[in-house]
Amino acid sequence: MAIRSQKAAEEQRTLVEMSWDPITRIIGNLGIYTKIDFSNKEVVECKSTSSLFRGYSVFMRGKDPRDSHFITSRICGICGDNHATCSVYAQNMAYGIKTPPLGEMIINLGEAAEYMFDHTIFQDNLVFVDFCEQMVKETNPGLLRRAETAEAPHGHIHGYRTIADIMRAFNPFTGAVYREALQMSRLTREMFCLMEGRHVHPSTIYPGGVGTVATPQVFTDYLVRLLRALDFIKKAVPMNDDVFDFFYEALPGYEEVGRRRIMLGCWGAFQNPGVVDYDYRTMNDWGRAMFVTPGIVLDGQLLTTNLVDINLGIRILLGSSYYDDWENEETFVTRDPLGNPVDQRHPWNQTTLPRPQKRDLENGNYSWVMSPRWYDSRTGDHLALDTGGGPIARLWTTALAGLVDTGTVKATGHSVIINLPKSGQLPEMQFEWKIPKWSNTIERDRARVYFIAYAAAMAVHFVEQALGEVRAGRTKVFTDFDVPEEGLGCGFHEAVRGVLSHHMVIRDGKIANYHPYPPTPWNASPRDIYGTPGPYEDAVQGMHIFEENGPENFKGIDIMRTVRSFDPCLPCGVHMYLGEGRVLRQVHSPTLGTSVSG
Amino acid sequence: MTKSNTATKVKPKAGKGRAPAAIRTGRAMVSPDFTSHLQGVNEGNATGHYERQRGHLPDGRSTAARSTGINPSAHDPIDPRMPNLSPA
Repeated sequence: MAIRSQKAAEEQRTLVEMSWDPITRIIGNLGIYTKIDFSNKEVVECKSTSSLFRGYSVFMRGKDPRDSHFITSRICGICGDNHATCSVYAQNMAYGIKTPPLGEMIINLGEAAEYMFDHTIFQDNLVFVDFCEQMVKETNPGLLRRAETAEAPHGHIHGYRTIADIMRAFNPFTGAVYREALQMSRLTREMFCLMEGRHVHPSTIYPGGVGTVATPQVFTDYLVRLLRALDFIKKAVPMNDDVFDFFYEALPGYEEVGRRRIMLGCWGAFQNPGVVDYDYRTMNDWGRAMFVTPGIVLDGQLLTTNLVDINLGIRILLGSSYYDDWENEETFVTRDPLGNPVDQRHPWNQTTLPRPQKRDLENGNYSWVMSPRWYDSRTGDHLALDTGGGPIARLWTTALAGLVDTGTVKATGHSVIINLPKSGQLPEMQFEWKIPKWSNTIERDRARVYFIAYAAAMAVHFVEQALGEVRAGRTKVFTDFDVPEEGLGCGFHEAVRGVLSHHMVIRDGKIANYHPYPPTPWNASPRDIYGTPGPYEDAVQGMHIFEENGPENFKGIDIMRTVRSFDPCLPCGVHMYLGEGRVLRQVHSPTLGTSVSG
Repeated sequence: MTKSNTATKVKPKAGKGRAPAAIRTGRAMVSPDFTSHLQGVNEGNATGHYERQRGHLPDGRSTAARSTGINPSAHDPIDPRMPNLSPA
């Protein structure tokens, strides 16, 4: 954390500039720059920056489209398989093919394992460091004293008597939950590798299907590991509830931390093998049949679940980003296959023109991230949708749409019911995620553990379906195809931390244009041309500070909890370019297991 | 504080089309669209490939011939009502 110490009198308030750059516990170069009014305990202004430029959309051009899932997988070292899967979806559309049912189930099983792995490691090994005993002792000692005497309501399930006991189990490297989560991440990655060959860049998924040989053994190996993971998940859900409920109770007003207008986007996950044909013209039908329903939630209302509407509404804006505008560049797609006009600011028509420059946080450009927005045709607004780290948006849209019903998971219209079968140590259990009152830091974090349970329940469903196919002898997992000279494709999926889309245009059998849009560009976007702040900025700005420390030893724990609740991850957002600028090394942020102050 | 990378400034060359920015890059060793698939070489994805391969039945099922060429019928199920689960 860098404290500039210069006090600026703005609006007759004494503001202290504080910055965290880079923010730790994420990959990439995210910086948060704030102005804080300590006398009123409020964050007055926040800007989110990235010093990372990748340029995938630049160098994908001219390549063989069949390579795109292998190349785009390398965007990220943690959710590469989500990119590979999404690219495969886009390629399927462009080639006019569909994956055989068993192949689709294998991809779903792999992705379910990925959600379980990634959410667990992020929640228990990264997020909970902000909620662990050591951290709370440094930032809110009063809260820890109260936690020592607060009984954990679900202690009979997870085994921790008090909230402070849970917080001690969160302590990095020494806490029981922290260490068990690491074991779990190994187990769930093994599940993933059984289906997709290798983690995190899968070796066995391709357009048209998978290379995984579907034998009974591969599925039973998966199931054995899944049942072990279920024991862990059944304890994790009530334990998370206990901690988060305690924060609401012990810190009245904590619901305002990280709260922003409910503007959530989910692009859907887990294709339904019986419905999906990857034809753009029927995208609404197979999109709604997905086992995580795509949709946009605005102020608690479901605006749409139609992937065609979602697709056509995507706008990539500039305003505070280091790029030249592409307004006068080539238009690749004027109308979609249904005849709808496609905007020049849509990813199909985007041309990436990087313009490196010095960061100007006051009145100029300050980030390599662009500003993706969703155009609401009813109001003409460009909505700065967020994903809330993924799970909250997925559960919210799925709950409201009420379309998913597999037995293991049922969407009710106001909640999602998750049924987990009997496992080694614990009996059959049911959890219900109810739509929360707020889109805030605590609810984003809470939804994450519920979505681990959701993914596990869906995995139980998929593995039963897959074994049914194998027992019937229907073992085909791959479809032949030829690459067309001209083609158009888009893939919609959920990366672990939220919406993921890949847009591709093929000409002369080569990639003419390719744009992946992962969740973090949505969440970490800077102010757009209309001055609308991105979700991180919006969530932190105006936030009340609950930390007991003053400016001298301020850690910014509430700000860090908020930013991390979005599961920030930037490599897919925008290679390190240092330009003429300097990298500040005088940086600290709340650090793992140390009491050294920042 | 550390100094920035010691990248030398390279001016965009005139007449080479639009230079997006003065980003210093290495010498290109191959063109971006250098083919990764050679014409005339069979490709795993090519249509007709499924039918040409032994052991793959038209309805999506398979026989042991998919897995082995050595006396495959000995590896097929002994009862025709059983699913044919070819070895991996």
